[in-house]
Amino acid sequence: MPYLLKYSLKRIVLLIFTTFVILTITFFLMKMLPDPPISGNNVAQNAYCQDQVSQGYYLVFHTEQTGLGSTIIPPYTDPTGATFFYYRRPLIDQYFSWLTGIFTRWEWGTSSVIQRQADAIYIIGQRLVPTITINIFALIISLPLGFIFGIIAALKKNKPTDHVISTVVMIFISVPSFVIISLLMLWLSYDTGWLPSSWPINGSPISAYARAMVIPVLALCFGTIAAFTRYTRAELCEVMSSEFLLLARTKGLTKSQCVVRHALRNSLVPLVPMIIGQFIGILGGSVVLEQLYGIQGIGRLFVEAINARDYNVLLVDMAVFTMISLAASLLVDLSYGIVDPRIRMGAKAS
Amino acid sequence: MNDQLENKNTSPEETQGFELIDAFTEAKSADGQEVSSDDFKFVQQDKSIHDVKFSTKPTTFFRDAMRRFAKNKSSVVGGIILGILFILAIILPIDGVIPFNTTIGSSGGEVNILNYETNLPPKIFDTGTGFLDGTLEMKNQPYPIDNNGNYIGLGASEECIVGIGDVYTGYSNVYSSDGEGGYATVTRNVDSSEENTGIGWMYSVSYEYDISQYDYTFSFTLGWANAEDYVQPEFDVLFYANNTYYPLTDYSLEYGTIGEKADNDATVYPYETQEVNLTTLLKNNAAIQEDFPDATTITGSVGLIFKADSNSRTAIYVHDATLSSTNESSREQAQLANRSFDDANELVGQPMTINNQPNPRYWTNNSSTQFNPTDARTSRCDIIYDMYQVRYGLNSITIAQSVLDNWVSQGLVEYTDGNPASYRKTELGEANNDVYVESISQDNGSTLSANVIMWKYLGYDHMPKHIFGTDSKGRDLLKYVFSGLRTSLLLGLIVAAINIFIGVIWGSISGYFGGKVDLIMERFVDILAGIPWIVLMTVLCIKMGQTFFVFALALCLTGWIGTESVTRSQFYRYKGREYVLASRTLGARAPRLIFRHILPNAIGTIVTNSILMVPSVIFNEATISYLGLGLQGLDSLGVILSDNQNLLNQYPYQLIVPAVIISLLMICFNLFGNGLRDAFNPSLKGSD
Repeated sequence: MPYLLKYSLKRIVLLIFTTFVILTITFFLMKMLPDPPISGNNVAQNAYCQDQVSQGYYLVFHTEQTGLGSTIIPPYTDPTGATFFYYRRPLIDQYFSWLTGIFTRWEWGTSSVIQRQADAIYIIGQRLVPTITINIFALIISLPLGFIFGIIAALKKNKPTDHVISTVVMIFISVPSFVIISLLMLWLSYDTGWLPSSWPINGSPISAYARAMVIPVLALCFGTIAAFTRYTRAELCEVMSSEFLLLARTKGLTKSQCVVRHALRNSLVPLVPMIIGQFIGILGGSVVLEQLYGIQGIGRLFVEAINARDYNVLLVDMAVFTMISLAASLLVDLSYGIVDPRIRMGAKAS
Repeated sequence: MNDQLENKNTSPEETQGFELIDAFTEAKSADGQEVSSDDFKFVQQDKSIHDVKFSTKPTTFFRDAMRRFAKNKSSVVGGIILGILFILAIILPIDGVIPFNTTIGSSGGEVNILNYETNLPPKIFDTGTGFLDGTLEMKNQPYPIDNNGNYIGLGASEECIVGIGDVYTGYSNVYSSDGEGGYATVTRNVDSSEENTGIGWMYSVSYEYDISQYDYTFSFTLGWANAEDYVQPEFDVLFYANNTYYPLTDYSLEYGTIGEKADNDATVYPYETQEVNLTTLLKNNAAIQEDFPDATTITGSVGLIFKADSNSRTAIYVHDATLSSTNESSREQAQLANRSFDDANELVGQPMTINNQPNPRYWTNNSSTQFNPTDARTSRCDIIYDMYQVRYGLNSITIAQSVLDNWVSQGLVEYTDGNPASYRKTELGEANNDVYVESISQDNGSTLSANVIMWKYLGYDHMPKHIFGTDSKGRDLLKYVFSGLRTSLLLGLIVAAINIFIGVIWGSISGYFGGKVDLIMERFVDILAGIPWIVLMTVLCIKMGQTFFVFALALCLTGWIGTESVTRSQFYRYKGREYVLASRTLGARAPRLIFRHILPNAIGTIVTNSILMVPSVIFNEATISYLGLGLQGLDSLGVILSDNQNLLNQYPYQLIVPAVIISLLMICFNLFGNGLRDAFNPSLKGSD
């Protein structure tokens, strides 16, 4: 275990470092773009700028300054007669105040467009719920189905059943998920009217959410089931042709005993990492899905933040995506070692 | 060295002889007996023995792989379809996607092509076959009919309508422009704030009634719906003048005989038509005589009024109301006709004013603005239009006088009898089949409009047939989608080529040298692989614009990692082999070892990898288009798909066509790529 611990720690440090590098690059790339126009009357604009000042992105003066470029909003005079001139801070200063905010106060900034002055972390937390729910449902449904089809295909290898399953799997692996959800929407909501064609607005009853969940979950399922089926079939086929199974048959076990007691167990071992990887895969794939179906998840938030140039939200969203995918790859690697002790990740090849 | 050469030069016979003697000596010593040399025979002494030529042909690695590939039928089919898609993507959009300018000027009048060529449904088969025949079924359309029951809607000519589906007739209690008949209903609720405890009324626009000379008759038909907790009110003929209500008969009118409903679905039972002599009533009414003593004409409105006790919900249903006069003058007849109605639905829809003038057909009522019809009959049907006939057939366009003059000078049309007010086509042009002008008309001497056969007018040789239909900008979807495919494939191929190039070089160096070099290069790859591609691409697109170059760059930044790791592992496998060692001993340097000795081992994997990379690039590009960051200026498949996504409900085929093409492309690429992988490396067969 000390070995595994050391390895994990090494990976986690690397994970945080990578995330840090990515966010830094993103921060600079983003901040080099012009800021989004500030909406509202001049009082609202002033409030927004004050907020940016407190976060360390803007500077405020009572007199006009030279050498800092032009003011962000026209000079604002408050009822007491004080005039405020707002300037953008130099990029590197902004970067350090952003870092300071994160490391000292765990403040990731506030949203500037999507939900004005709401905490970015709070927005992400809100949006994470539908995304995770849909993905978990998709996984729960596709996991057993994928295994069943994979086992059937492997046991009937090179028979018509296998050919049919393999062909269907081939098709569903290839067809992009946005095509699948479009066709599902066309069939299940526009043509027949059985299901809603978009995600319900906030505060709808649970039943509305349940009905709206069917199409995105189905759309995610097709690809995932196909992936699980293909993987299970390949694993099981390999195990079925191995020598220990031949020995088991020679000892006198029936074919079904062989399959259930020996083949299946051994073939399921490498599938555990696969499940984690698949979960991340569909999490990534649901960005387009959320966009198409209007689901208020983090994928859609990502697109909204891009279009509205809401940098703080975008950065937190990216951090979440990056962390999730990096953490998943770590989990996958670790689970290899746990489910099959023969594999030691990161060990030097002897 | 010399020995070897000599051995090689000795003939087979000599070698045999030598061995034989040797064997003879041994045989003798083993048995201890003498064996006569006659017992020994030269085997095959009479034959000349030499190397036999191989009966099988020598094969190369690639030829062998091709043979295995050809055995895999599905992959071959995938490859063929892929080839067809490639060829179509090059050929189809070759003459541009938009065939004509969006407006046609010169000889013709100005016409916006967008009005005629957009959103046409697919047409592969002839009209009327029912499937992909360029028809569009419009559901729940109004079904106006004339007195003979013929459809007269929308002014569409008969040849545009392929068929009319079932006609649904129903009764509606709200006004709709295509409703008909019914009862104008004035209601009053218990909680109504109307004073005067429970009266309701409706009356026409006022008119000057000449009661000294003429007899005016007011006839009306009432009905009763007998709705739940409604009570039937007393009613009366109302005269409204000088802001005063005059019930003319003191609520003494009786309802009379009730009749049958118009239909089972209807709710209102009609009473018989009642008729009152307005002149007599006005002359005999005490209140009117008091307010208008000895008047020869009285100006006011005629209507109906009802009352019930203030706690009851009540209503009055008026089917028709007609004013007539014994005065034959057409003005009076017209004025009275305006104030009469026999279509309650139409009455309800009348606005209070038209062009700021009081509308003579409007009836005031106690709900002040709008009263509802009851039992207005509405007919709706599903109409199947031949959209090609609608758009490309006879259409009316507005032309300028100069255009007409131009047509005349070209001989397309000429003045009849030299009369500039009337025109006719020349016979000559019609015979040549190039005359698109059917007729020209001019209303009020100002606007010239011409009926033209649109497809001829737009410059087609025959009526166009868009087998996938057209999109919202009038582009032929077949050409457009394949031009998108061309862009996508171009991007995919270029990016795949660059990725392979970088990946192979990086992987080779990393794998060949190993050690510290490998460690540093791998950490770099790790960090790059850690960045979600969607993030990287987004940032680049926002920062640098959404051009082809930026897309290629963004897709290349992380795309080469897969090839890199494959190449690296191949190098680790082969770099320690003896033949590499031998080559190195002979003085080969690193580049030669890498590119001539080790890399060719990985070529099969690399080819497979590059084939499978193209669809993933296309998929990634499509995904980014869906996020609103698609290519700009160039329409790829992803851009077409995301643009047409909104039309899913209205024009599903516009999404289905590119969706099918991209799916077909993905399936074929995967089939083809997997087939190649199986062929190059049979041990991997079926692993995914």
